[in-house]
Amino acid sequence: MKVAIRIRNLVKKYPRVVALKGINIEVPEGNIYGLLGPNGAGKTTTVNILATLLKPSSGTVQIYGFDVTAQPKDVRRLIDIVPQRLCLDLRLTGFKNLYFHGRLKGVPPRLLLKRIDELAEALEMKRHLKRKVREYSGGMIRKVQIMQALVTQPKVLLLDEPTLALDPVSRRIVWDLLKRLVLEKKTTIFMATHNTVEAEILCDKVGLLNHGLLIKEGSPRTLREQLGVGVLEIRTKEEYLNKVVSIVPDYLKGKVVQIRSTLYVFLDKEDYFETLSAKIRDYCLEIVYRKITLEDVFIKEVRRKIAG
Amino acid sequence: MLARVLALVNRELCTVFSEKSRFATRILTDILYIAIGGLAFQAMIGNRELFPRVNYIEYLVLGMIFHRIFSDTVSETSISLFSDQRSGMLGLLLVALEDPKYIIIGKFLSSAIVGIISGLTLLAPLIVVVPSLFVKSNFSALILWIALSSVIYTSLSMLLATVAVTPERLNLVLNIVGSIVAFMSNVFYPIDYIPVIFRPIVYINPMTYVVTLARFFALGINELPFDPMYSVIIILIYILVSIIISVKRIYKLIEKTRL
Repeated sequence: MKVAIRIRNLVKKYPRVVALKGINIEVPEGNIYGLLGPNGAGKTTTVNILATLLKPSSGTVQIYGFDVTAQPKDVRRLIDIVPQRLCLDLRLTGFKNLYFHGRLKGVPPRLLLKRIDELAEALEMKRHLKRKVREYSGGMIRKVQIMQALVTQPKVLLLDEPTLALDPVSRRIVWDLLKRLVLEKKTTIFMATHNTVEAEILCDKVGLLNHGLLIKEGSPRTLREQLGVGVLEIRTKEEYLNKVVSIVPDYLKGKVVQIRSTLYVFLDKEDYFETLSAKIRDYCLEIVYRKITLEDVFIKEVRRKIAG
Repeated sequence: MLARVLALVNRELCTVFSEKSRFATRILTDILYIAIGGLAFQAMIGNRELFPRVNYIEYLVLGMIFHRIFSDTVSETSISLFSDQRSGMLGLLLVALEDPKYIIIGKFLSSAIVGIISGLTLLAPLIVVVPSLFVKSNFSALILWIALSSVIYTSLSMLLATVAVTPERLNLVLNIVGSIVAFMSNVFYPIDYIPVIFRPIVYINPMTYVVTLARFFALGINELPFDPMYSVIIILIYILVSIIISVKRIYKLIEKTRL
């Protein structure tokens, strides 16, 4: 399978901070790769480098073999981007924003109108496209931004927080459109997101980025399975926190994450749940056992403050 | 690629003319100024001819047309570049058009077209208001000079636009620089009326040469103490220098844009 995106030892230094500290990523053609990470982890920097808008300090970044620094024009021909920030002309209508973006990318007018019509129908934007963007809600603006990238049907689509500000139904529609693009056109998608549900549903592979380092990588399922089978969410009072932590057996100590006075204990076997909850019940406000999600992986890897 | 650059020109023009009232207000202000200010100054100067066959109103109208072209090209180019850079749209345009030079060409063309439209839009009602000027003037030369001056002003506008990268600087360019260029020239009054102390500014002001040549081509009068050919050479130097500097600066501006 062809490699669409290849990132090797990517380092990006700003005057006061090192945003990326040597990351390696490979995305095969027709795959969706999700870059998860907290604020300031380096996700948007990575997307900007892939979009040729930022030069790496060292390392190589290639899209279909074209180097983003040495051959930026070849790279730009293959990509399109949905940026995190508002990048629409507020004085123009939604339709004109879409039309001009498509024409700038060289999509023939007739095909462009057909695609705009189809996307407007799918995203329930048909009657809004004639209005000026400055009259839109945040969700509508986001929809137009996504439509803008979808009308051009690029080989590689870069998305930075694509479904931010969208309601759950619209989010599902966007995910469906993206999946279809991948399945029908073999588009490769690279997305930076906070949304672990989005990453879990859409991505073939996920990378966890924290402080400029890729700390974990794999399919959402593998990452979940590596963490265990379930998670015990223990809500306790501040004064009982140390007591509860001391009761947790040693073999589980490395699998406890504390956020304020809530503990997350990641379990390898479901039967640990009964044993542990019986011992700590008296000191807790609430004990919940549930399946591990990608969000738990995110919390475990990013929130390094381990209780005890 | 031409179709894609023209799409950018189309986008820019749609953005400018999406606010027609703003455009119309400027034209109306100019007509009001010519009607009120022009008559008031003419009363002060008296009905004597400033130059052979030319009275003050006729003199002022030509200055105002070329001042309007300058103001509109500067403001539209600056606002367009400023808002595109602030919103990150420059980055999106770069990804779409692949090469910064196409962004520059597109913005240059659209700015020049805005200048031509501004000039012609102001010219049209003035034909009715001051018919005597258009009886006396070489009309085709005037139209041609409106087109050429739009290109000249666009090259200067691009340079000024690269300075206006913050709201404060945008304000500075649109108001302070705009005022100096307008008042330290022969737009509103002959150079002889300007205090000697300001004359050096008048002679380095490109507006002086554009307006002088406009009056020369349309009415056959030359306000400067040297041959109009020198004015053409000075303008060419201005165009060349401002294009070289502005292209370099816009490249840097595009490189700095992030999404």
